[in-house]
Amino acid sequence: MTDKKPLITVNELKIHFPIGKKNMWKGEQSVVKAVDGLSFQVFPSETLGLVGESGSGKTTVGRAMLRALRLTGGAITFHIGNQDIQLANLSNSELRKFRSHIQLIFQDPYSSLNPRMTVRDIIAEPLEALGLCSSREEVDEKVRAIAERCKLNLEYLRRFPHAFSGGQRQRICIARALVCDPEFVVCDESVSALDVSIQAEILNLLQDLQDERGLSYLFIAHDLSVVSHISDRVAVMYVGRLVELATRDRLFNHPMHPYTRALMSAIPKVSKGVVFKPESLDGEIPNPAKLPSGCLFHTRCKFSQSVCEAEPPLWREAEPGHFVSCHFAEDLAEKLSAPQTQKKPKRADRKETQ
Amino acid sequence: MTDQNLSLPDDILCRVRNLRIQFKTDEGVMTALEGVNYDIPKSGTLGLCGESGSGKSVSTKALMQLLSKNAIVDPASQILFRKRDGSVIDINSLNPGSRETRELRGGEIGMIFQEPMASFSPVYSIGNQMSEAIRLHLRSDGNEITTGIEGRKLSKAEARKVAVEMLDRVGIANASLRFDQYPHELSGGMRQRAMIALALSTSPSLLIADEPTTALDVTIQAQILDLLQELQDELGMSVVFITHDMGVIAQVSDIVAVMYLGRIVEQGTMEDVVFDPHHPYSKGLIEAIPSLDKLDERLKSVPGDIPGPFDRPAGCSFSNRCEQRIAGLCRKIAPDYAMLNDHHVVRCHLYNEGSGA
Repeated sequence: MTDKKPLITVNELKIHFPIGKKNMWKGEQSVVKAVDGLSFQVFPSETLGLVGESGSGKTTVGRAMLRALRLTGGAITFHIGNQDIQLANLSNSELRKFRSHIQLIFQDPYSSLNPRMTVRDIIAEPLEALGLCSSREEVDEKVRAIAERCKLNLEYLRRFPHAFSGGQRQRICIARALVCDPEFVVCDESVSALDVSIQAEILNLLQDLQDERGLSYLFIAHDLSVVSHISDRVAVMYVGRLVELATRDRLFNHPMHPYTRALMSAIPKVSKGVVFKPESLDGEIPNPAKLPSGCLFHTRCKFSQSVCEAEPPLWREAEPGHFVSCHFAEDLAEKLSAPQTQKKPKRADRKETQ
Repeated sequence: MTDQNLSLPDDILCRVRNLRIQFKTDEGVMTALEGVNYDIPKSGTLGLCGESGSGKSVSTKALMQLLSKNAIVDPASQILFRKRDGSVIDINSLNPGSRETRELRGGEIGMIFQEPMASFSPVYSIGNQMSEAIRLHLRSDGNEITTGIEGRKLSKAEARKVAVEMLDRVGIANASLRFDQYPHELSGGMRQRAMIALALSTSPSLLIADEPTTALDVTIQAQILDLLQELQDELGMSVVFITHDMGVIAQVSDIVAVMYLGRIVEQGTMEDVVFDPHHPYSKGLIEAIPSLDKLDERLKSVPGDIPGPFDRPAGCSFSNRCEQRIAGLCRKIAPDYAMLNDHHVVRCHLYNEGSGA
């Protein structure tokens, strides 16, 4: 993976939102640092999973990578062909042209389809808006091809979205995102609104399309087991910063950050004879307008020491391809092997938690 | 209204028999439940799982008599419930607006909903909403605060005391401060805790938890599930836990019922249903869960979509998606329950004796 040329390089990405009124005398505008200094790369034909709790800034990262938001700082560079394209520097007309390379699949297939457009018009809209086709026939041909590929019945193209179930609607969303042949697709919680049996089908479809077209996905989700299934590498976010990034197998078998570990152990599992016991993580994600000092996770971390409160840990490569930001990553990883599952305790002796 | 002849086995709190519910809509009459049977064990947890539209929520709303006005409940259906005083009543025969129903609803049967923001009123403080329920359902006989209708109504100060204790019990720090706050001032996890406090403040004997953790993050979900189990052990109430997440089902339930399109297709102990599913639908549902143990395998999925309420297949309702369909049988005749062991029942022709399986 390391010798490959990346498709996208994100460097020190910062997105801050101003909050409240600017005080005339005090000068400083208070801001929420939704994303603060993120650096990572996305490789061609790769799925990068992005996980974190709500409020951690996952969606903001996804939107920034489509330039649906203005960057406060840092750079997002696309390496397409032999060109390096700085996303932030594109003018409006250049950006419009560039949009065919980057697309988005939303979370809720019920609110992301216009109820007054037919399925054909919905799927054709990107082609028409970006002026990618010269004739109506060409548009129709492309729409039919992608609809067929996404296993939509061609007769459905004349219908309106209300006639479809959640799974079929999500197929329409996928067809719309892929009709202009993008290189990079942001899937923002694209399967979390679906039922389990449908979710599996959509995940399989996304994987098939990736294999055929060499797509790169940024797969944003809060469900670690879904992310782990589809991703090649996984990045874990906590209040606007990355805490860990590694290949999927490395991350799940050898997590180095205590937050990753807690997140993983909180997933309810179904496996015979063992019922999980979550490593309980007390408290909630901090308010991004009033961030804790030092390491942002120290307020909830079991292993927190005085240095964690004082100094923010650096984002460093602890082992090749495995990035982490924790003062004690190596020690903790050694001390604790992968999360343990325990036998289900009897009702009576279940641990009392505070 | 109470029929003296009704009875329930000692270890059962509530028994639902042949529950059939239809809804009158503009497009015609839609059947939501077609003869659902289940027992809620005393101090135990029944997990109801299934995908959207399977009728999970409707079946519990019938327990609370909270169905919308266009619902038609089959008068032959029975919902037997053991009240605190030991008498058994048929909830289905009660008038939804009657005093008896109002005493049950929120008093003996508590409910927590999926969306904690939508289930609190934004214009009243948390404490105000808790006090309302507490003053409605609890009474004081001078020294002690009890459930039931004996004694005098609680004063606002007494209700506040009960509410603050309960908020404290569910792990909300600064409970007396939170009492005066409004729902928007609390985070999602906090709100769900407050919702639990509200539902449990009247010490119900049955708690209906309708997807209580679906809108929460995994870490918060783990905290809430822990809390619910702890409170259940302490208060000895029965819980009906509705969720579509089989992982959660496996963690919380004693008995599991899998629902599909208004019918229970498989029911049994948690171990039987989750670890040894028999119905093709429950099998599919469990295999479709992505898991950290089988990362490189392709996900198995249940082919096709869930049919709409008006185009249910004839015969077995799962027959159009089932890969083990028996030609000429499944599409025509709805299967009956087949007993696999004392508690494990499955509704599938594959296990019905003499049906060619």
